[in-house]
Amino acid sequence: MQELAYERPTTIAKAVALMARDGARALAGGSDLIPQLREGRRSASVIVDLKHIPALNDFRREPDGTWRIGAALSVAKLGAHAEFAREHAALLASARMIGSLQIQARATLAGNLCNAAPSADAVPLLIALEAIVEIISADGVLSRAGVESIATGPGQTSLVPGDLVTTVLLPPPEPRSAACYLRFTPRREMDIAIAGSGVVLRLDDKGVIANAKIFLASVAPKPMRASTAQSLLIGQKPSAALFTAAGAAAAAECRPISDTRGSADYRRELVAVLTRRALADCARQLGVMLP
Amino acid sequence: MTSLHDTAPIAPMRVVGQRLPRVDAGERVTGRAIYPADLTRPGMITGLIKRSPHAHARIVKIDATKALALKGVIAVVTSADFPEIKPNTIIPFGETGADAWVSAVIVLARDRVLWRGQPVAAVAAVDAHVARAALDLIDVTYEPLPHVMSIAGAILAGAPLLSPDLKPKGFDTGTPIVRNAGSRTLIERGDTAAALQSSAVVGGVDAVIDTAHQGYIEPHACVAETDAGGFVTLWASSQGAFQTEIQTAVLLGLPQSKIKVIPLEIGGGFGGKITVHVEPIAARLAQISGRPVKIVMSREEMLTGGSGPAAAAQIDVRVGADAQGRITAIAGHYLLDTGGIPGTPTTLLMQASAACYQTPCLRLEGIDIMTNKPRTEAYRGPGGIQAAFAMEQAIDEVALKLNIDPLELRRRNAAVTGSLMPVGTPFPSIGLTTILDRVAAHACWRDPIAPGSLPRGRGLALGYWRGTSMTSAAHVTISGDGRPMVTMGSVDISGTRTTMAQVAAEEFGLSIGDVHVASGDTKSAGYSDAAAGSRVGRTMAAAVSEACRDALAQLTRRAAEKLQTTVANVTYASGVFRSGAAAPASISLADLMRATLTDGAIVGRGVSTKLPFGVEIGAHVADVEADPETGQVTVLRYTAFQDVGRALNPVAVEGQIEGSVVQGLGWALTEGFDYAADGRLRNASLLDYRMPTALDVPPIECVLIETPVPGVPYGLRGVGEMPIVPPAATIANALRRALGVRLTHMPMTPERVLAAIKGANFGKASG
Repeated sequence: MQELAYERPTTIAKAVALMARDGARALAGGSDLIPQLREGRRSASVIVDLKHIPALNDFRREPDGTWRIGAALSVAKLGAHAEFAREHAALLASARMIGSLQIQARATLAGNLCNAAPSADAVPLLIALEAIVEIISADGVLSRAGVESIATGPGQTSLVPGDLVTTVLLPPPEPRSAACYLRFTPRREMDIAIAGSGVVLRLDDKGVIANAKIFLASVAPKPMRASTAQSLLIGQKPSAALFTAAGAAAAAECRPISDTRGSADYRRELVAVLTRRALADCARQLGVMLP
Repeated sequence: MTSLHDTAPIAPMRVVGQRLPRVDAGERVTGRAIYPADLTRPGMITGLIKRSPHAHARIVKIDATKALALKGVIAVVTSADFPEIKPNTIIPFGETGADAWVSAVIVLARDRVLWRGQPVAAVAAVDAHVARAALDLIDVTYEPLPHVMSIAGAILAGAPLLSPDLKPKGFDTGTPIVRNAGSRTLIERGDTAAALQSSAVVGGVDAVIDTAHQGYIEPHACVAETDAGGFVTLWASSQGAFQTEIQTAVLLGLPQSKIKVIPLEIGGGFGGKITVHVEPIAARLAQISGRPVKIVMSREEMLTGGSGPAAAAQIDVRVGADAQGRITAIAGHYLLDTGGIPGTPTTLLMQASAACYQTPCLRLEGIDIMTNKPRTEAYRGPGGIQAAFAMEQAIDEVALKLNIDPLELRRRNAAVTGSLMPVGTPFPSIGLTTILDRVAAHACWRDPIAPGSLPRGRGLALGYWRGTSMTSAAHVTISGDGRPMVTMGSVDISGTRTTMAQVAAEEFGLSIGDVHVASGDTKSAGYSDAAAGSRVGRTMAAAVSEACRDALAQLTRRAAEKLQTTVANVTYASGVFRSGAAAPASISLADLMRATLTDGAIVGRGVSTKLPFGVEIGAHVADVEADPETGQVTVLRYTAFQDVGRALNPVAVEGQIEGSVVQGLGWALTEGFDYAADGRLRNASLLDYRMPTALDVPPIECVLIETPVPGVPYGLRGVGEMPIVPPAATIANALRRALGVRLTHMPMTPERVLAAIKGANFGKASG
């Protein structure tokens, strides 16, 4: 019989000490962890509940404009900050696709990231927006890592036992840039993306695409960069034909599996459509009429 | 006194027909209502079930030694702990009786497992953790056997024979036996083949329907307890306490004087909680351990072999018509997936699918086919939605080929009172043409579809369900303050306490708050058949009104004595007995009881048996939108027309229609079991077995039409099953109009819709 301890530290120092124990697992919202433990898909001997640590409920802007988002801050609370909601509307929208309203009252960005599901809805734009996480190791050392480096495969991360993600740092959007994440689910909520595409598009002064970042959900073991599609876009002027070609390129380079949620063929169809539509949405946000 | 079964024109009533909230609503929404999983008994222990990991295997040996040695384990049972039940052990049950052997095989496998998840053993332990550990310590040796997971696979020449000793029924000489068939039913009149040959047009659809689950939110659960004398008490959540009792008694070898079933609240059944699953196991574990035992299935157990899902099907339909759109022939071939045990009936569903149309030639052939899936169980109008999915699309094909409006085509061929039913006898009073007139006049059909940027289309389909009557019992006693107290033999799965309180209040001329209605247990109420087949509202209303009138007759005799007059001179209305005009005097029901309670109890008795059927007919109209790039389907508008005879409580009736439509839309669009080749269910959770959420369901407008049924109290019809019949065909017909393609594989998932649009095959995905 499995014994399970539940700890509720109120300081980061205590949390770090608890995380050093064998089989320790951090619980932010718990909306993934609890069902996984119940269904035997993950094991833990100590659950370290982060929600009662004030510093991990931080949500504020740093002097350089970077948003500091505590690892225990719920997605529901992200929406409460009007300035954040305006600046990062697309990321907020993607986080609001997680589960349902009830789930979002618990779920967190850091949890969505560390759960490392290939379908994580908030992660493609977190990566594309160049978010960074702060990690405190079991021996108390603070380090920083790009969000892209966290997930390494389904349910797998680059974190080592004892590591505690404390904060997500999100830089302000670049000028003349726009973001959009679209996913496809057969149900409107309480569902998991069969495929998703998160796009950040930046234009230069002449209206040429200066940078494009595309990360795909549910079509690879982890959120996947659509490199070919990105390079197809950079240096070009936005057009419907270009976006269609980028969608097709993303569909060609993704590596989906067939499972009960959808066939690989269907996922590729969806990636092409979602990527094209996400790019078009970014163009619309930037006031570009597509030729 | 008026006849009990009067069918006078609908007269205004005081309580019947009112829009009233459920009497149990407060208990339910505050979470105080008690379901079996909520119940705790002193000294109670936990039961868990060990299930087969194979789709088909011989059980070589079951060794529980290690499990029994684990600290905290109190008892282990296998089929060896139950008397062996032979096939064709018929017990009294519903219209035709039931085979207790089927229940026995479902409850615990003996010698052979026929599906993954079939129970092979069970354990009782001090808590769920110990019980779970003990399950792993029960050592079962299997010899795997070849298995088959689809109708298409099962009927192939080389398919493994799942029941080699079975002689399929209904195959007369000259009719080749279909492999793995259980039985064949044929309904035939006229030369259908010749009529189809000479028809101006033939509309045809070959449909495949995946297995689905009833989706009741409460998984199977019960608590069993024995007393010192060996009397078994079972707290159950089932559609029929008496059905649970008789099955459990037979499986345990107990006389029914030694067992009582107490019905608790039920979180949905829809046909899936008539056959017992956990009750005999809990009872046996309680007998062995001497302690109360609770078993609560997990959601995964419920989906993977712990309960009986609804039948997959393969249905081919051809409808012939002349150039004027008169149907010349209907031919239907219905293969129904019965799962691991034969016997899922085909006759009602195939008749239902053709019932709305007059036709000179008819040939309906139904066969149940065995596969290594859980034994199919009933699901709300069992088989109706599958059959209508094929038939109503074939009718739509005829309309398209003749370029006739689909409503007009149905009008030209609609069954009417007195026209022949598929079974060959004349229809009793039906109002199909009235329904079609109401559709034609309604904005949902008259107004054009609202424009949108994506393809949109409108679909129409009809539905029919016969329902059943069987028997219901109730008795009423009167309290010392004159309040009627009704005890029913039926459980309440659909608001029955509320509607029967309306009936009792109506009969006594009192308000609903002055009557008490409860479901009795099997030792305090009269035998009633299960809450199934759209029967409880109608037949229990008959029993309750009879019981009330019986009690009133007894009360009237007492009132006559008190008022010093004859019974003939006493009238009763609104809680007051009055003597005739010659010598006006009165006594209230309350005063009468205060004065005469100790003279003896008033017990009014009501039993309704074989009431005329309250056939259900309806028409559904939907506007849908489809995304041609993703296959996503959005239902924009949904209107359900239904002849309900008379709505006892319109809120309850609309709830039945809305619930049915939602379940129908779920199966139509997203719900289907996805079996891997090894027999594993790949979507065994409510995440991947996608029942609709509130956001997936459009507003559903209900249009109630009231054509009373002669010979039934208040003219009631069944209401709960028919509205699940048309939704899938309605959506498919709408998609045909929107996209120009026919969707013939249900559920019509976005992937299947996109594949149909592109004419592509996306390879193995969901089914």
